[in-house]
Amino acid sequence: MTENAPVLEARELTKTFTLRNAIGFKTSEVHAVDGVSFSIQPGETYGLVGESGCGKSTTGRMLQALIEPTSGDIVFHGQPISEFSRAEQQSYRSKVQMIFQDPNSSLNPRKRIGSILNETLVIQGIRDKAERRKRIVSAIEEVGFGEEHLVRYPHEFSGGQRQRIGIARALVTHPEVILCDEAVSALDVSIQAQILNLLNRIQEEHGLSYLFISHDLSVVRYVADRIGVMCKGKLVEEAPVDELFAHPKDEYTKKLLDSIPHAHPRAAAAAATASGATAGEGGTR
Amino acid sequence: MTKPAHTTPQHPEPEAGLTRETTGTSGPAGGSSAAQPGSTVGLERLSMRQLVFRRVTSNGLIMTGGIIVVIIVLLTTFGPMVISRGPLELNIQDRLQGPSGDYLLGTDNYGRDLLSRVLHGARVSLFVGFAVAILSTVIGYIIGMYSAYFRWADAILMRICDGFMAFPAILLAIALMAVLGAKTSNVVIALTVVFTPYVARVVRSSALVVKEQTFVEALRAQGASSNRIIWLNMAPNVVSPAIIQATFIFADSIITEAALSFLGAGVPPPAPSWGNILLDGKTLIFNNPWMTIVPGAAIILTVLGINLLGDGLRDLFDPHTGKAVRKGGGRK
Repeated sequence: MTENAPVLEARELTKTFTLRNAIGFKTSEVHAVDGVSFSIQPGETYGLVGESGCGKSTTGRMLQALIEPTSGDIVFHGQPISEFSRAEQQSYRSKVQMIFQDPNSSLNPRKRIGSILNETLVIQGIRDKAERRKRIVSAIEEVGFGEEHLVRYPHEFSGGQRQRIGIARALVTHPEVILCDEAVSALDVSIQAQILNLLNRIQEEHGLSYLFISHDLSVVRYVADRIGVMCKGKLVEEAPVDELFAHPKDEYTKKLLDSIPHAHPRAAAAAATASGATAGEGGTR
Repeated sequence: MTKPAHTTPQHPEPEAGLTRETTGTSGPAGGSSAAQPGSTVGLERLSMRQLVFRRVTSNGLIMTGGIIVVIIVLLTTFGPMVISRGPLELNIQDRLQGPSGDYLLGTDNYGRDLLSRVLHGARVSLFVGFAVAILSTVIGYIIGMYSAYFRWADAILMRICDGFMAFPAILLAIALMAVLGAKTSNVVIALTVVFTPYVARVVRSSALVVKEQTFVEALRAQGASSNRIIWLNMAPNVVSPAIIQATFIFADSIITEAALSFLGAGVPPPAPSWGNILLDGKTLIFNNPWMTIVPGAAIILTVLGINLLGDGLRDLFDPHTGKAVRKGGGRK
């Protein structure tokens, strides 16, 4: 794999939702995602940020092939997924996994952890029981649990633990890309750090790529290599993480950076007035 | 990626061989176990079954209803074996007698033993109620799950259900019986048609809630088939409301069957059913009130028992709605 061949690419992705009234007449259209293009390199974490309703989750759902784009293409290793055969589609789904926001509802409450992980592999068509078992055990150990946890039910775990099981479910298929849709925003801050560190470690060990969708800039800054800023369905700015925080170009990005709360508000304000800095610099802390 | 150990598990197939008993025994034996953090989880897990048992036995509704139902089922099963007289045995010279040592509950206008008729009638009534509860739950489950999952199916199936529910239950049942002809099996079919939409509605509304949970989206993202999502993952989460609904349908169909037979559209005479006996007793209510009182009491007691059981199950499975219903409607 050459360095500059992206794993996953979004090309001019567009999703338009048509609103209809009760009788079925078109009343209006919502451009949820409007011509968004970006690419994710192997081993890279791409952060997608923006306020709620800007279309970042819709982008994630399109990349996961949960909804079809109105126009544009998703390109996986140079091949558009719309041209995939059924078998290729299934392998795409195993190579691109997702971690969800809400750890409470992302695991079936009626199934044991082992059975949840097993089902993922059964869906991927892995027939060999021993092979499934091996993968399940290695995935659950990877996220810091042991074999004995496989027989438990989701309600026996805390939110952070369940999120780790969600990660194990994503890992069990040996993916290349993991889409993290607000993966830590439902957790409290100390657990967030734990999960982020776990994600970083897994990335280093397996050379995974992440698409990290979040509204929380400080989280994205912690994990991402490059950041794309979305606003009203459009990608308004894209830059490596340090550059974006140091020299935001777009007006919206500046506003977004300004909205980060400071650890020491008074010190930050003093620093800002002392250097007569621009509004954007406040965000660099 | 591959980590070394653990390729010789005691549970080779996670989905199958993992039972509660095989786990949670990691805590040390003896009295000190409660203090250890690792084993407290194990203790909770082991006592889970006892916990359920305690919740059932401390629930007055379930216990009362359950005892009534068990007694009635026992009487229906073994009663007819003990009684020597058949439900169709005529003793014209003994007709319209009150309770006596010979006939414990008296006789009807043909001199048939009322006790024998009521007990045999219970078999018919309970069979109809049980069969209808099972059939309408199974069919309603299928309709409800598919209409919750597929939008297009929802539009079609729910409109059909609405159509059936628009008719009063008795009226629809009489119409169906008129078409099908008077036979016990046709009573089951007619009542199943009548009650299926109610199960479908309940299952659908619960399944819609389950469908919105992220794990369904996760499965879709994995590429799981619709049937796998619906039946292996969503369906088990909808079982409790369906069971509750099934108990109420059990009770309802006993009443409706009695009403149908009373109107002459149900189980055809001379076969005894509670509705039939009531019908026979109708004109003789002043000559021999026992013919009305006994089957009437049997219906009331059975339906009361089953409904209490259903209420108790609802409280057990779903404490919130149970309380809400009672606060809003019943007590105040």
